[in-house]
Amino acid sequence: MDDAAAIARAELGACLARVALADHAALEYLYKRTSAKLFGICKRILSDRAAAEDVLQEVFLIVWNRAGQFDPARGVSAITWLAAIARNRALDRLRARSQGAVSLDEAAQIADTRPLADYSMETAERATRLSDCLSGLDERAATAIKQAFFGGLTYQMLATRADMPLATMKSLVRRGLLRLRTCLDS
Amino acid sequence: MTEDDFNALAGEYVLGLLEGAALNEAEALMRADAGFAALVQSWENRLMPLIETTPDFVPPPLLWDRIAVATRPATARAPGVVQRLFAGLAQRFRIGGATVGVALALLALFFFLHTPPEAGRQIAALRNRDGGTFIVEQTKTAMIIVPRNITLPAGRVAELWLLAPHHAPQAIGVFQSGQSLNMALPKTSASGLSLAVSLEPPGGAPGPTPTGPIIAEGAITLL
Repeated sequence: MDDAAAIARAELGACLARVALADHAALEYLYKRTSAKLFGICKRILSDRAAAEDVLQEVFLIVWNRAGQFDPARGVSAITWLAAIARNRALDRLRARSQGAVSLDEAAQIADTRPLADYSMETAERATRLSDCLSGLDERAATAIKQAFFGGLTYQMLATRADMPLATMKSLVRRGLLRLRTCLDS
Repeated sequence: MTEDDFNALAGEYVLGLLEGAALNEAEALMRADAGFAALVQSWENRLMPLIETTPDFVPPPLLWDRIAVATRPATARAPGVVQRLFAGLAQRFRIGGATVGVALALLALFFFLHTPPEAGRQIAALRNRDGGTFIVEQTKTAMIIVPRNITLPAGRVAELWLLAPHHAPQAIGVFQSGQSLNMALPKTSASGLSLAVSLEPPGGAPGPTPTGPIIAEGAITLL
């Protein structure tokens, strides 16, 4: 990890700790530092600007109320924690809105996309590694994993979409996940 | 369940693949099994880089104002914020109906912060199985939820959720045993709204949806 990334990590973590103490200035600082990234995530999943704005607001209200639940000792970075909240909220909105209006074409392209240069070295390296490991999987498993991740598709929806028995889809994805773990943890 | 099955279940949970009984099982493990929660965390660490490299997109300036109004204590609110908020809301009303609910909630919050408390009238009674009730009263602009004969298990809090048709549950507040809860109420003609109370760990549900059992539920009638 480069020094700048290490400092940024520690700084956001400290900021969340202050938000947990109801420090409103810390929330504003956190917003300045992370809202563009989190809004990008919401827009990516929802492809609808107004909905993405609503979800981003929900995300920061959740952060305001629950920053105390962030625990750096668990080995998760602050930005990963925040990104997971944004993704979960956006997927909830997507599921509530419809049963399938999902930009899966875009989701399917992610494995071929190398991260842009303006991310920390650490994030870029992790993304590249994940991308490499995904491309080592059965292509159907990799596609299913990406569709679930970005589009909130359940096993049942994936099986229907791929015209595959549910049990086959489950074992395909499960094998893919375990292989992915081995690849990423090695 | 083999160790691999257990680990894969954590990955499936993070991806959002599970439904029905499998989802219930994973959620129960999340609450009760620290080992499983740690596996879930590991999967989030593994998978989140997929989305952390999504290009940044700067949200409109108004959005921070909305968040500031919703989070800042009334006394600390800077002048000007509310005016900008209203200007922005007017624009959003023209853009589309999807955000009208949020706009109404913010309007109600604004009026709530500027209106002295007054006596309310009952708009809902959320009953639980043990004979306890959450009485929900509405004043002109606020909603007050008062637990009667409700005992919460040690170490758990009650979390209130607003349920609207075709929308995900919306967490609107957490309260301890014996406490009542004051909150802003959207003055809307929307029908079919109901409220539910779930049991959650201290601080409320860790995710965006209830994790504990729903202990009381009921429809609300707005003025």
